Amino acid sequence: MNNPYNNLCVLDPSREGYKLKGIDLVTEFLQEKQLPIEEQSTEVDNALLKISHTQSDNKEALLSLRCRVSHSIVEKINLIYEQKNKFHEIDKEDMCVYVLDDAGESFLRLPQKNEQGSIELDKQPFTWATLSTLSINPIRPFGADIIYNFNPDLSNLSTWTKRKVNSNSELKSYLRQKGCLLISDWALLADSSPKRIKESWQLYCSGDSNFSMNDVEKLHQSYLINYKQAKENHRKTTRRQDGWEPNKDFLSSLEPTQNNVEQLTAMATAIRRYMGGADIRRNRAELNEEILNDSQSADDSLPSKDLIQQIQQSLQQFGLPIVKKTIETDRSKWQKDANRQLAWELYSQGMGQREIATRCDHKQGWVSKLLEEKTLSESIAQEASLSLVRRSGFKEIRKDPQGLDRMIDQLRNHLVSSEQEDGISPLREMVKTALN
Amino acid sequence: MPEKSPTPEPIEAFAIPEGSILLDANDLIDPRSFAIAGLKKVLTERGIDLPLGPESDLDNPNRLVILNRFAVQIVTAGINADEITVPMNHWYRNGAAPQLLLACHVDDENNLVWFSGVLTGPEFKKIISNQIGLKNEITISINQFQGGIDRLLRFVRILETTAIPRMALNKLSQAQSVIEPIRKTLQSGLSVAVFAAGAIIFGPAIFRPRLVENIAMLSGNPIEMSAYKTRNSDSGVPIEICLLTPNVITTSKKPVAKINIDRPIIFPLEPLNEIKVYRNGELLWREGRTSTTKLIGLVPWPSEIVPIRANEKLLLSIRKEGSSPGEEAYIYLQANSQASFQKLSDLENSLGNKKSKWISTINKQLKNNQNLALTLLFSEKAPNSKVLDQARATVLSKEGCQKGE
Repeated sequence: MNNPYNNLCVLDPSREGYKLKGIDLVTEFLQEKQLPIEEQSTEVDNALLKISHTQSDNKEALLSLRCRVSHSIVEKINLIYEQKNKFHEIDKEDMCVYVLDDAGESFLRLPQKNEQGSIELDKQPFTWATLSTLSINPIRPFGADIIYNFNPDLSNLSTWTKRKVNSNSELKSYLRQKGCLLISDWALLADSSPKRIKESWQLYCSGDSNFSMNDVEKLHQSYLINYKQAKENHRKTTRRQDGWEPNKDFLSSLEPTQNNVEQLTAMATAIRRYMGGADIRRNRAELNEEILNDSQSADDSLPSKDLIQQIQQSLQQFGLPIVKKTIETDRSKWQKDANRQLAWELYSQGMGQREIATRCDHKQGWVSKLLEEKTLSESIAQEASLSLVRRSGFKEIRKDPQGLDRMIDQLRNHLVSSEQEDGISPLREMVKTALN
Repeated sequence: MPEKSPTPEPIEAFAIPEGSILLDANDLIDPRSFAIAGLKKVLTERGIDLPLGPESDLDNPNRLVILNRFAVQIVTAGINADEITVPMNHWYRNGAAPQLLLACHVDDENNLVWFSGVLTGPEFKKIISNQIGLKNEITISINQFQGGIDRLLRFVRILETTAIPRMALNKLSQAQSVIEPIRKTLQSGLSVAVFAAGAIIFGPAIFRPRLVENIAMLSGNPIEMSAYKTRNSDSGVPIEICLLTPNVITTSKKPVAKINIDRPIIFPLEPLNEIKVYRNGELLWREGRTSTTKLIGLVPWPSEIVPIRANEKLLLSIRKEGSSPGEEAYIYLQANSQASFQKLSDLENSLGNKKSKWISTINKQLKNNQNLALTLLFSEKAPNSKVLDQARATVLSKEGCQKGE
């Protein structure tokens, strides 16, 4: 029978990241113990954990938990992937590499120094007793680390596993490179204002919660006060910023006192739902940009051609060197990824980011990160403005912050507007020149 | 009966804000040191060489940063913070108050910082005008900050140091009065000939004709209440209500209006008896006609209601003047998905005080998204502008739907 306690999710590049591997050793053990294992349950988790602890040389209970945890890991990876893959170039298999490294072996191979002083791999049974002798932090495989550090008094195993995936430093680093951030529930609660807490809880509180709005606000208030100190202590002890988890002392310092993290987790989930309605800055910024860019390309939002010519000289003088430098810096990567060159070429021809992404077989996020049109146009506009304000006629703008904002915004608009140069914006023209 | 809206999925991973800086150092401890490291990295990456001090005490959170002779107060918050707290001790020192307030978001778990924007001293003063007192700290929305790190660099690289005063909070109003005549002179375009040319380049005059013209061409949508048997429908004459916005795309049994902002306006072009909003079947808000006030024209999103969220479906119920209870039109306000959904305040903040941006954005959106255009047109945050005033007057003068529409 297939169930989460005797089937391990193992890495498999040919099957979108993972496949199920039945573990016979565990199947027999579970049958013998007559545990209700068709679905994940706290009772079974705790029973297996108890066996692992009390019979610390028992392999099967721990292996069964490793199977069970692997399913929660995959669930979390799938959630991240589903939410982010449309815009960000993330790969499920790549994500799984960091967190799904358990092959289901019943032995651990531990590096040991032999008599000659060289390192050899020593084979030890994969049991709780062996784990407790390890000085390595974090323990590998990742699933074992999750189980070994799990405290059933503070949360359930699924929530704990997902939180540990969320704080896996290698996965975080991978996602960061792809433009995504994994943020812990604890940081999210600390970042949220009382207003956000209130609105999110009103909308998405857990149905079975007995917590009143007043309790939630009070709890958050005391959380903010205690979190700062606890995080400070964590930093001093571990010399790390990440990895902080609330312990019993922290929970009892809250008001109302908490026995476990469930209420805090429910509040963080409500915030995640609340923010899920508008994820958020990037999408928002992009949409803003889209709306504004659309507006800027309207014929009535542009300066007249005569006036454009007056600033053309400064923009050309400073713009072309900046664009050339940007492209030269990128050119070194073209041999490895010819699509980068293609993206620049298509951009210079006037193609939009979505089309470029399709043609280059990448996501739009990749194109946006490569071209950095906003940064490029801002740099050129600032350099041109620095030159313009030295001219007697523009000197006064150095005394007027709003005027300066207006001037640079208009220069940027002009640079990216497609109403010039027969449908190609000046910035794209500069890219074309720089490419030739 | 009103339908339940689907609950949005909890967000698992957050998109890195554009312009974020990933730091290499692992020895950073407090938010200030993250901010300073981020600032230094931006300057290096952009090849901008500006003096940054006080050199020997740069990481001291109690000190202002001096960047190219501008006094900058760095305020920090978490990466997902919606509010930021400003320590006020510097703001009561006459002649030593910050000129610029830089908002820095720190994600210490990911070693990342993001500068969300800048406020000048006078801008900050205006924002907290209703909070002034001798407070130790003041909390404001992060949406108040504009322009990211670019705005800081614009100011410190190009402005004269004296362009932004270092006046204590209670003196700022005086500083404003000093600045104002200069600004007026500048903006009048009379004192400096070539600056006048600049003012023309960057001024909004060229936008004027098109916006008002386009607004004049707007017309209302008749919403038929065919699903509800009324006295008039029994006689074969369909009951209709004329709405300028939101714009209904399905006028069958369930009229639906697609919404892409969290606080859309409602704009009936004929008098109503009552207007109601439901969320998940629960009545959230109700406004009725009284013996002294008519219910017609602009209805801003009620401040008592939590704004509409992406993917959510609210129900709007409208009863026109003279109708009986039960003779109502129901319109589903269907919010767009995350990818094409906006907070109005974010958009307003992006537009800032720039008349030209407001005018061109509204004008463009009239073609694509009438509700967004009209919501922006009637936004309280819209700058003072004759063009916008004229456009509003044009909208307010509209009466009912034209026959045969």
